[in-house]
Amino acid sequence: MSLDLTAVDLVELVHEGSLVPSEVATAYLDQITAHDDVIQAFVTVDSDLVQTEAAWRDQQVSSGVRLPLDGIAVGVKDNVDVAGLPTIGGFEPFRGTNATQDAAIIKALRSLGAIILGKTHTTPFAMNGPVPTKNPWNLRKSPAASSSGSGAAIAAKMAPITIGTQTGGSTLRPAAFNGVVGFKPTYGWVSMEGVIPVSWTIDHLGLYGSSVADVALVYHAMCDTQPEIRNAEADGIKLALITDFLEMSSPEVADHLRSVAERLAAEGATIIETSLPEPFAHLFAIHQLIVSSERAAVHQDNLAHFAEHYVPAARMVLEADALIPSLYVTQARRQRHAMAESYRDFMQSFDGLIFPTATTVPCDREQTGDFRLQVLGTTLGLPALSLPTGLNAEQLPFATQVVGWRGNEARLLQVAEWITSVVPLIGKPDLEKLRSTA
Amino acid sequence: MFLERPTTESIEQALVAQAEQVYPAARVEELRGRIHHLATMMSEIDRHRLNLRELPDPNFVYERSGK
Repeated sequence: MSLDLTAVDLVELVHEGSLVPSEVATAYLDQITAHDDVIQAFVTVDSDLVQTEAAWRDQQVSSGVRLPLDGIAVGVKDNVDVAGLPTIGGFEPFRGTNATQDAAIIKALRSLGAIILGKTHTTPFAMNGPVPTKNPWNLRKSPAASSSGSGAAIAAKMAPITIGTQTGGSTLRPAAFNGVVGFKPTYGWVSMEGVIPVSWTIDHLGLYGSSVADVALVYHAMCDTQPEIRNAEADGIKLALITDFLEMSSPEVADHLRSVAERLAAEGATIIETSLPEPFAHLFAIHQLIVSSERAAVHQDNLAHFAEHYVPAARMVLEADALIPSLYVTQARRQRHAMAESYRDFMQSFDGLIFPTATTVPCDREQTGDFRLQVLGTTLGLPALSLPTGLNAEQLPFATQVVGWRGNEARLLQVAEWITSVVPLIGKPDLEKLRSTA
Repeated sequence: MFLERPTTESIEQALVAQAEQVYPAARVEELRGRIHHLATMMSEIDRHRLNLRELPDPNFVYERSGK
C-alpha cells in the first residue's frame, strides 16, 4: 500500500473493496518500525492491539458496514486516554498504568471506523520541556511542541491522521515546523473528557493530516456534517492580512507570507492589509494569566506529591503561577469576553485572517519555537488552520495560518482548500536521505 | 494593588512578598524571572480594567453560531 494515499483515498479504497483496514494498519506499523528509531514520533505502539482492532474492522467492512472513517489509522497525542494503553503525558510516574476507558474523541473516532495506531510523544504535561521526537525535515531542528510526535508522524508518513491538543500553540506550531496541515477547530468542538488538562477554558483538541480534505473528512465526520469544501469562488473570498504578525516574524517568514497573499490576490481573492483590532500585548496578557492560573490549579496536587519528577523549568513556572491573585484572573476573563466581541465585529467583514503560523521556520531543537502567533485562535476559541505553503533555501517548511470566526469551520475549510489550489502544499521529506544524516 | 492603579514594579514587589510567605528565600530568587513576567501580564490587565457596568459576566460563553 502506498503511504502517499490520503485519508480520503483510504476511505474510498476500503469502501470499494480494494483495501482492507488491516492492510492499512500493517503498512503504517511497518513504516513506524522502519523509521521511528530515528524520528521517535511514537511513545507507545502495541501492534497486537492494533491488528486485533484492524481485524475487527475487516469483519465489519466485509459484512457490509460502511463508516465514514473506515481505513483511517490514527496516532494520538499521549495526553489523551486510549483504553489499554498508558497515558504517560511525558511524565514518568504515569508510565505503567493503562487507561481503562477511551477519551471522548477516541470513542467518537472508533465509532466512525477509525483504528488507533498508538500514542505519540508530548512534552511533559504538554508544557515546555524535552521531547525525543525529531523533525523529519532536519534532525537538528525542532519538531515544535507540545504535539511534537503527532506533527512529525504525519510528515514521516507514519499515520494519515493524528490528534494533538493546543493551549498555546501546540497543534498549529508542530504542524508548521513539521510541514503538515494542522487544524484547531472552535473551542468545545469535541469533549475534552479523557484528556489531561492544561487550562480548562482554553484547551482544544486538534487534527493533523496531509491535506485540508483529510482534516475536513475527520472533522465533518465527527460533527456529522458533510459540506463540500471544493466550491469556494475566488472572487467571493476576502481575507485580512494581519500586519502586526508580519512585523513579529522573521524577514523570510514575512516575505513568504506576502508572496502567498500576492498569489491569492492574483487569482481573484480580496486581501486587505490591516492591523489587529486590539493590541496584541493585551490579548497575550489575557492568555497568559488565564492559562497560568488554571494550569497551576491542575497541577497543585500532583506537584505536591511528585515535585522531583517535574522538569525544573516547569516546576518553577507552576510554583510562581500559584501566586497569581484571583482578581486578575477574573479581570482577564472579563476582558477576554470583551475582546471577543471586538473581534467578532472586526471579523464580520472577512472570511478569515491570514498570517504566518509561526514567527520563524523550525528553530534548533534545543527550543520549541515561538507560540505568540498561535495565541489569537487559542485565546478566543477561534478555528484555525496551518498550511505548509513552502520551503526555504535550507528546505525547512514555511506555514500560513488562516483563522475564522467561531463555528464557521465549513467556510474556513472551503477557503483553506481554495488557498491550496493556488499555493500547492509541500510534499513530505525523504526519510532515507534523512537517515543518512543521523 | 487594589486601591490605586499599580505599576509593574509594585505588582512584582507584592508577588515577591507573597512568595516569601510560602517559599524559602533561595527559591524566591529562582522564581523572580517568572514573577517579573507575571507582573508584566498583570499590569497589562490593569491597564484595561473594565468598570462595574461593563460586561459584568466573566464567564466566556462559546456560542457556536456562524457568520
